Amino acid sequence: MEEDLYCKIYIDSSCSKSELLDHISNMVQGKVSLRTIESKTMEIDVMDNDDYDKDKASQGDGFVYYPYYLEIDAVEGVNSTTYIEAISNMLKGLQNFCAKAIASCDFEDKLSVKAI
Amino acid sequence: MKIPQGLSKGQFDKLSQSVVSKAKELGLGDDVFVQGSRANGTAKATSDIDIAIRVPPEKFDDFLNNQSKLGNVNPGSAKARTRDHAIETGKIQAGEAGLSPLRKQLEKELGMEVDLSVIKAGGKFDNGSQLPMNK
Repeated sequence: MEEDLYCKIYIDSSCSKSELLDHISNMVQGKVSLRTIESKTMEIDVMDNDDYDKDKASQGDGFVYYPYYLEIDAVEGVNSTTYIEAISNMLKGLQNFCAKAIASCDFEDKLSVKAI
Repeated sequence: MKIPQGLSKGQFDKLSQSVVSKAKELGLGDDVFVQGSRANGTAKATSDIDIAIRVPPEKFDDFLNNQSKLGNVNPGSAKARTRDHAIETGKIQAGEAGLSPLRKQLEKELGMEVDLSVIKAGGKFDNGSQLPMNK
């Protein structure tokens, strides 16, 4: 069966959505259009989380209540190993940007950076 | 016929056609509407447009298990938590519903952010002002 490369990353950060867009687009050297960032390996949408709840977000597995999430898909034709490595690098970059980031996808165990 | 705030009749007709057609193609029926600020007339220029495809509870469960990206999860994973959350809230977001390509197409056409999801009839998100789409 073909591997599903769709990935959602929940992000807890005090920065604004436009700051997040800027940071991620710089990280992946991507082009921004509205809330979509296109890079060589992936297409990323920066989304406000309608379910954001500050109190619930701080509890155990409350990451589904973080203020933002990314919807990420591979660009057509990209190698899956390259793509997964790019997701790992992005997680690392987000964590260095003082953001908590948790990936929800079929390849969570292949990510070299563990979610925090 | 009421039109969502900030859209022309032509835009709403085209939007309706695209979303209802996709909902039918996925076997989700044609109960599709705009909700939130664009439906109740309180939107700002930068507000998104919230579109919901409403399905009966049994169809919601069937779609979640057999057609969405949340059908197959490893226990204890973040994806399993995402699935549990979708069940709790009665809402499957565009990415997990496989509706991202349509959502992005609509954003390009309308020039505004679009939220598109499958919601369970009677669930947490089945409330507030709702403007039905043309069928």
